[in-house]
Amino acid sequence: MSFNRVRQGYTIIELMMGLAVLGVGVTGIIAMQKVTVSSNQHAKNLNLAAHIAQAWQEQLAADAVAWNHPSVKNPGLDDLGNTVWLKLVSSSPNAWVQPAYDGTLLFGPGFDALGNPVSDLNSAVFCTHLRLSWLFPADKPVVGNGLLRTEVRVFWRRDGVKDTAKLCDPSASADALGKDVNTYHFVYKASAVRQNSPI
Amino acid sequence: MASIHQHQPLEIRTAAVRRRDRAFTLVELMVAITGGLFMSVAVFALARDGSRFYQRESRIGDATMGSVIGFERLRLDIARAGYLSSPNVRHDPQVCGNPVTDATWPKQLKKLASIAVEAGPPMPPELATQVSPDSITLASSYSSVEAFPVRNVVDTGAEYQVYLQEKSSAMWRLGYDDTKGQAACQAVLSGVFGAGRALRIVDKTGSQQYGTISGVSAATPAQPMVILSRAPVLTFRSSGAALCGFRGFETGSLANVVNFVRYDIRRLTSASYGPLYAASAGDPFDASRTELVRAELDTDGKEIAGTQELVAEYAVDLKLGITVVNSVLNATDPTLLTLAPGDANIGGWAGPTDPELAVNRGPHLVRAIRVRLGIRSREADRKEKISTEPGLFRIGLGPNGGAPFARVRTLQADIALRNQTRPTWGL
Repeated sequence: MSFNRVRQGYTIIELMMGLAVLGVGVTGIIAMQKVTVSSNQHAKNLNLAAHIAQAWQEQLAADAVAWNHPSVKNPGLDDLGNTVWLKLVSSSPNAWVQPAYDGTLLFGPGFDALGNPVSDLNSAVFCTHLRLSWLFPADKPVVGNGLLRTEVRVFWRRDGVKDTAKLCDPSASADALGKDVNTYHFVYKASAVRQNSPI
Repeated sequence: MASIHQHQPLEIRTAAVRRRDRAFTLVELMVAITGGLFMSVAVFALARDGSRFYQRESRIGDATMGSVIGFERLRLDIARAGYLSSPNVRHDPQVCGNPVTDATWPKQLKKLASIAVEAGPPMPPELATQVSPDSITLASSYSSVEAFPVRNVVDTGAEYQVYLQEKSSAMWRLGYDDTKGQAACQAVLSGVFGAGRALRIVDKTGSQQYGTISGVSAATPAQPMVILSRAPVLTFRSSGAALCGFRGFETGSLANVVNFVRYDIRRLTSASYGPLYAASAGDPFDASRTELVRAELDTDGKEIAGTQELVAEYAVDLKLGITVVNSVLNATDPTLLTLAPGDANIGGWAGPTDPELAVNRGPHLVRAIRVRLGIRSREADRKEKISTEPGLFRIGLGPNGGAPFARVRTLQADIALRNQTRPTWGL
């Protein structure tokens, strides 16, 4: 019996087991590489989204330059409508909306893979929603003391695939999209913007 | 086995024992070695690829981290531009003196502005065909957030001595304590009022004057003093001919430091950073390395020794756009216009104010800056370029910007200038 064993090679079972172990090891290495790539990509996207959200908050702060009345000097005038973005609080108070691209400010809801604002929403890799709500109206408690809560939501697809039909579609429901956490990653940033000091 | 041997003929048993005891044949050995070799090559290749892969991911991870750190530093400095400083000294109605015609004003102070965007230093030949970074010069009270009450301003004929009120909350917050002795007091003062920086003094009428700090003195610790050179000459309202200027001792005026800070992309020149380059002198990818550098300038536009800082390693691009007040209706309803990074008209709004910009333009009308910063990975590990505009995904480090290509992380964001929402002079 032991003489026969000395002569024999590996059995098919032993070979298959060896290959299986090798396969598991190689699969593990490849899987780790995939995880590393996707983690790096996700970290990059998170970074970009955070900067896009910050850029939006700064845009809103700069937009307040055009919001000067009602003021002590001119309590009867309301010029919030002169702003580009902040005036959305009048049409959609306390609701998520996708703002339209503004060709003068070269800024809008869509951004490419490097975080550049893009006018063509079909090429957007990141998209943005805004929610504006009143903290203090412009005439109370003190005239010229208007204060808005500004919330920005930046989102992009989890699978990294551009979805030109849905990602930045202005007709899509912002509320429904905001709940679709299986399809999109989200970054939120909240701040407040005060009315510009009356001149 | 013993029973088998016992029932087999002797010659068969001998052959079997011979086969059992013999060594591998040459063919068996060669087959085994060849098989083992293939296996070794496969395993080695896999390990090598895995190692390279993780190195590459680590490099781009470094670039990402560098871009985040560099961007945050730059963002904070830009957001604070214009704090306790004029957004454009040449048009500011509150400034006493004439920086345009007065020859005693030093070069940089003459064009004091919260921001100035210019073309950056020339890039190494490998990068020059691919990127043309901007530089940005900021002015603000960066060394301190305080405005220090003044006790007395004295013109000695050779210099100006600005005595600060020692018993003030600002000095207290600074940590100035005359019981700690002259050397300690001198060190505290020097930390804020360093030589070469500008000093802004706002008198009781709201009028501002700017001077160049030449030193500080705490020879008498209870009488802290900032010394100004005579460039520029300050105005004293000794007669009715002067419409503005210091009157009497100017007790109660407020003084604060103004720093000029410049960010650009270049190779560090400070000797203290020498070891950084010496350590990688033989590395072909480091020959063309550039960094995001922050340095402080004196009122003459020269870099103050010891202020050069490395903000982000391997930075390759810095492009700046601006959002400006384009027109004003009834002086209170401005409309905004954005000029994207690289727009040829940026210099007309936010360029250096000396020579003079158009009358209805200037840095005081800028309301936000759009910053785009690109940081490359240390090694070039890509053979092909991904073409995209604007912004960078990869940058060539080979001759004339060709292969190999390093990967680039680009971050971009707008930054509002919250310290200058109001000035609209000139419109």
